[in-house]
Amino acid sequence: MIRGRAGRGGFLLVEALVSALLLLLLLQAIWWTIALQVAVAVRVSRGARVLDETRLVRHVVAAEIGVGRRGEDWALLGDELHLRAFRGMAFACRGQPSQGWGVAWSGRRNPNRAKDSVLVLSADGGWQTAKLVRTRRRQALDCPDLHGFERQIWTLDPAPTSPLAALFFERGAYRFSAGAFRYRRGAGWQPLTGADLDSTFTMLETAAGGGVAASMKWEDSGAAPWSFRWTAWSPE
Amino acid sequence: MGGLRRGAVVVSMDGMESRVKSGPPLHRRGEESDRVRDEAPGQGGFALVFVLLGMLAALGIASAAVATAVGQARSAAAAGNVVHARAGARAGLERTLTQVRDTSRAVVGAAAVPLAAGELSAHMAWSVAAIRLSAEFHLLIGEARTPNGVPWREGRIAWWMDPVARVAAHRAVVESPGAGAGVTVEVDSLLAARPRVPSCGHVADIARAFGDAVPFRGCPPSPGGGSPAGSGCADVRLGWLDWPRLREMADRTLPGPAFPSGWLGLVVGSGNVVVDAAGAGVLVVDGDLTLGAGSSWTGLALVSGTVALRGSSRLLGLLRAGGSVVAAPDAVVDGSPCAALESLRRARALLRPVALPGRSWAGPISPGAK
Repeated sequence: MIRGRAGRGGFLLVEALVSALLLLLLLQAIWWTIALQVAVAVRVSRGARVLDETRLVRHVVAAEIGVGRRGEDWALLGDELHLRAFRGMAFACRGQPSQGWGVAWSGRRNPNRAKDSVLVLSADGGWQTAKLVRTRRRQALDCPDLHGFERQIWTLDPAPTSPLAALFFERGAYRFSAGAFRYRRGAGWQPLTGADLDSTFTMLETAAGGGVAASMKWEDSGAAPWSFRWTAWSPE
Repeated sequence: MGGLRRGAVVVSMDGMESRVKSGPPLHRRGEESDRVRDEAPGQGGFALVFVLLGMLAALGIASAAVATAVGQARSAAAAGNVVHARAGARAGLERTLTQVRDTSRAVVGAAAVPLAAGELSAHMAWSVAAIRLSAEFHLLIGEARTPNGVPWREGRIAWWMDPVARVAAHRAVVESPGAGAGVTVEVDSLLAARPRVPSCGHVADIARAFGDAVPFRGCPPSPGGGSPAGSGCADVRLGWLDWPRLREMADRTLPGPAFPSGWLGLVVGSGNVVVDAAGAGVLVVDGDLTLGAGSSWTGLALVSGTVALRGSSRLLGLLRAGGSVVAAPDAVVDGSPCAALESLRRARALLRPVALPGRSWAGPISPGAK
């Protein structure tokens, strides 16, 4: 092996400098690539959230007004959608208990006497509102066996005459405020989405023909603006 | 290039010369340097480690982005499936309301009866079942399931005309606010069989309703607290079917071609309607009805205005009129709930579920698990 002597150190220095330069360039390229990847990943991730939230809002609005009737069950007051938020339905069982109304019910959640009211269909075809006072489980009721339906005895105030079926609902409202889509039941407005919606362009409004038009736009949406607008309709 | 020849002069970087002595051929300086580097561990592959680390980081981030994108695609597909299933359930209900032409086979308080089923595009299966809530009110439950198993159910309250319940809703042969004077109403064979009309005495509800053999009575109130305003018989209607709906569903409109023999189904007319022949069916008139001399009608007649029976004309069945009923001395109303029942049973246009006017959607219903 031939070892470099003192005078050959300069050559190694050049090599070291070139290597360092290349290393720096390499690090820069790696850094740039990672930064780009991070930016892309963040944008993909945010885009995914935007789409998720858009789908959520669209599904919620369409489902909430999809059962109700305009004016009677829901109305836009300013930029707030006030409604009877229907949570389930029930129909009368054949065998009725001595007290209360035996029903088979199904819905998105259990009936809750603390917050639910009931719309009752009577044998004459009219609908009346009643307060849900009490619910009791009673498996022994003589009801048609239908998957997804559970048996209960409801106590309503006022007690309905010849009830056939019922819808139970809570009073609620939706709106866009402080950058988020929010639901109110009672006092507070609970956010259902992130709080980065552009309040200037995001709103609920009455659509021509009686539906609910929703516009959503996100802040700092970059070159490709994330904004959506659609209309949800009541079936009747 | 090969190694240096023996005896060649080698000039080093500092200008000193030396001759190559005996021994194996020497290599070029580059090759020598390689050998030096090879023998200096830790200097080689350092940049490669950086590159690999960088690639690893980039791969990790890219993988996360891909995972996000895949998750988003799945989320969108799931949301799309829900929308499709929901639309399928609603479409199944609409199709059932449009296409079913039959009496209800469901029994009050009994299990749900399948009404219709089919497939929509992309092999999405749908079905509709009926639960009978009362004689004429039904809960229709539409269910759809996407090919990958996403279920959805929608409910709808439907009014489904029941001939027995409709006839039993009458309490007299003639219901009119101004009936009576000079009209001959026969009530001696109410539940008996007639030509082309079987007896209906075995039908408990009808036997109960007509047990007192009442010839005349005023108009009953309109059905349902939620029904359109109007009382009595002034708004011609059959249960929850109002005049526009009846006109839309009619089998025949008066005036029209001559009646064929047999049951005519649902026959409608507006204005001053004159019947000059023998007909049978459900006759609905938004206006005034005149049965010409010698003519006859068998079945149920619903008239919003006045009814005039000319000489020797005959109405076999039941009559409900919003105005007065006048008749020639030899004209007769032959009371027959059985004829009215048979006319309703033969009117296939009326044998169908219709969405309850006003509020009919009932839900939400849990998709459940079979």
